Amino acid sequence: MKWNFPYRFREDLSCPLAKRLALLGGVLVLCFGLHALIMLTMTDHPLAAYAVLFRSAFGNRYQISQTLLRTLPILLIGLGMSVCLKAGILNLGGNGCLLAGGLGAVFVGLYLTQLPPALAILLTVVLGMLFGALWSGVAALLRAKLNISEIYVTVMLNYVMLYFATFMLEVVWQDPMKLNWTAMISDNTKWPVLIPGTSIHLGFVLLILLFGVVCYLDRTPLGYEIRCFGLSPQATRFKLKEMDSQRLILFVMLFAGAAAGLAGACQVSGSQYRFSLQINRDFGFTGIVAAKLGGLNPVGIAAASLLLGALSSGATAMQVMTGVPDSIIDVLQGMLLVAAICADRLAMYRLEKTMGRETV
Amino acid sequence: MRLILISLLAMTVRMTVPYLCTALGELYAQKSGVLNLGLEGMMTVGAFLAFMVNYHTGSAWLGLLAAVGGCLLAALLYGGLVIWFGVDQPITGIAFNLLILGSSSFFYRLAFGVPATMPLAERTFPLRPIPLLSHIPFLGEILFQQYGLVYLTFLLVGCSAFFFRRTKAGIILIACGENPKAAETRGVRVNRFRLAGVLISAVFSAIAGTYLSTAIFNQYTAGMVAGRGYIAFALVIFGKWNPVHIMAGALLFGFLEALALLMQVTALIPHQFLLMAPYALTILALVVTSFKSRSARPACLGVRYKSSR
Repeated sequence: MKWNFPYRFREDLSCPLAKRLALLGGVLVLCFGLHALIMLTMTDHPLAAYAVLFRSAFGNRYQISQTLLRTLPILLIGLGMSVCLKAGILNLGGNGCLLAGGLGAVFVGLYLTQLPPALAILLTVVLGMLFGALWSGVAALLRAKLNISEIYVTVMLNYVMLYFATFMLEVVWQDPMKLNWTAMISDNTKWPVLIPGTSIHLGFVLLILLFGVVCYLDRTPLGYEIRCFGLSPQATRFKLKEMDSQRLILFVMLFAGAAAGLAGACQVSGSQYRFSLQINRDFGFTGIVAAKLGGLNPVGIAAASLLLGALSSGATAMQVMTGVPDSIIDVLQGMLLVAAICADRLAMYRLEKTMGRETV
Repeated sequence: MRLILISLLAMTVRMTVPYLCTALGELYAQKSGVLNLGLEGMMTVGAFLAFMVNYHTGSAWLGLLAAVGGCLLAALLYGGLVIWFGVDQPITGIAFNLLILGSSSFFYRLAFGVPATMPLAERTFPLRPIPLLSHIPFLGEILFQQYGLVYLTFLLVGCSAFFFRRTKAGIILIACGENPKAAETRGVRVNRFRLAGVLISAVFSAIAGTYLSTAIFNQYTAGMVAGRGYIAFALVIFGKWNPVHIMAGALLFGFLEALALLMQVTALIPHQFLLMAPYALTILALVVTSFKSRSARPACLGVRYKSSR
């Protein structure tokens, strides 16, 4: 294309943090702006609606704890997914693994009622993570051994687990008094509340542990190789020292599955004390949005998850007070993901001054 | 007994259409080199717009038109982002799915609130039995007493096979997916053909979505598409990028879905396992396909092509 304009865009693969942050910030503003335009169809004061949203997410102690409760599974899954995304693996199985982990936790809660509390709680954590990892492991094996793209396998497995959980709910564990929920888990398996008066439970400690693990992983040789594998699987195939590429794929996917299973166990044993399909509000995909929005960086993901959690928990109040339906948050989420992807891509371009007439 | 078999097979043909139509469209996109993972979203757009327009105007064909228009818009945006801007294709597709699913349920809530009973459109597509053929005793009732869109879809299978093998445009499209550089040296505008592939996949998905919400269900619910877009995507792989094989695969899935619907009445097997079956079968199909050779896969699938003009 002939450009007489003295600037042009050139691809530049180094993305300094400041530029990415600035682009992300710009894109966020754009998203919220577009979103406000959509809200104009429903209300005259979209900015006021936003104000209500954020105030009811962070207003008082109860509301903050509700926001944090919504943030917990998103952040857990986001951290797990970030490891996968760094390896270039798009693991969409968050929903299925979360339900699997929830099933594991409710199994302990319904049947192993005689165990001492410490052991029972440990068992819920372990089983939750184990079931989530196993469910993710199916897709991981197919990808590692047969090179079947994990994208569709995990999506299909989500649906399989959804119907399996429906089966367990409707046939095996149905609580006759509360429709679509199981019976309440026994007291020895409920997770302790850490700060009395709020709902902050043991899961938050586990979250901090996972956060530390992910940050640490990034600095280990294994983390380095995960990133290299993500940038170019072919180039790294023979050079990996820590793990060969098959085991690497298995590792990242099992890690993400375990994190999602943990999120499921949190929802069941820490927050709802029962199992149902409603413990999962599409956290699998929200976790991916958080991971992308946070730029695959643990601190960024934490911030993004907090934002998404606040949006989710403030939306109901917004609906009550301004009449904007809370499903508009789903629209915002989708927009945020598209915007985050575009921002990542934009960060690879650099504005460059040319010498004037260029005929390239 | 005979009646059950006939209704099962007739429903199979009916249920095949969403899978088949979407998979055929995706075939055009993939042969041209673009991984359009936003199929689920495009079917949802199609289903939603078709239902809304049908509900408000009373014309199912206007609904189809609206669905096609909406899907074309979405595909233009997706194609622009993916082909020219060069974002990662799978995750952009997923992002579009999320966005469209959210938007559809939002606008549906906007229009209807939370209704006590599901709003149904008044007029749906009419059944069009073919005059002579539908009187054949067994096959006639199964094959030739269907909706117009069903006949169209199966016709499209043959048209696609012809298109890819015998027309110049089809061969150019294949070239764009196999070796875009070579195509460009012959003067082909590769990226425009790729965009055309994406737009065609959008049109087909729109038809499939319209069919889903108008002919089969006659309403719109939030999770209506239920992963059919992803299954159609896997069908393209399972069918080795060949329209006739895709039709065979789609028939299998249609049969499973019809079986699940019929079994819900009889309660032989818990119906959740039957509902699970299409998804589990997709995974099995992918496993089986991975053992066969992958030579039919377009060589430059999913790779962005930067035009050097």
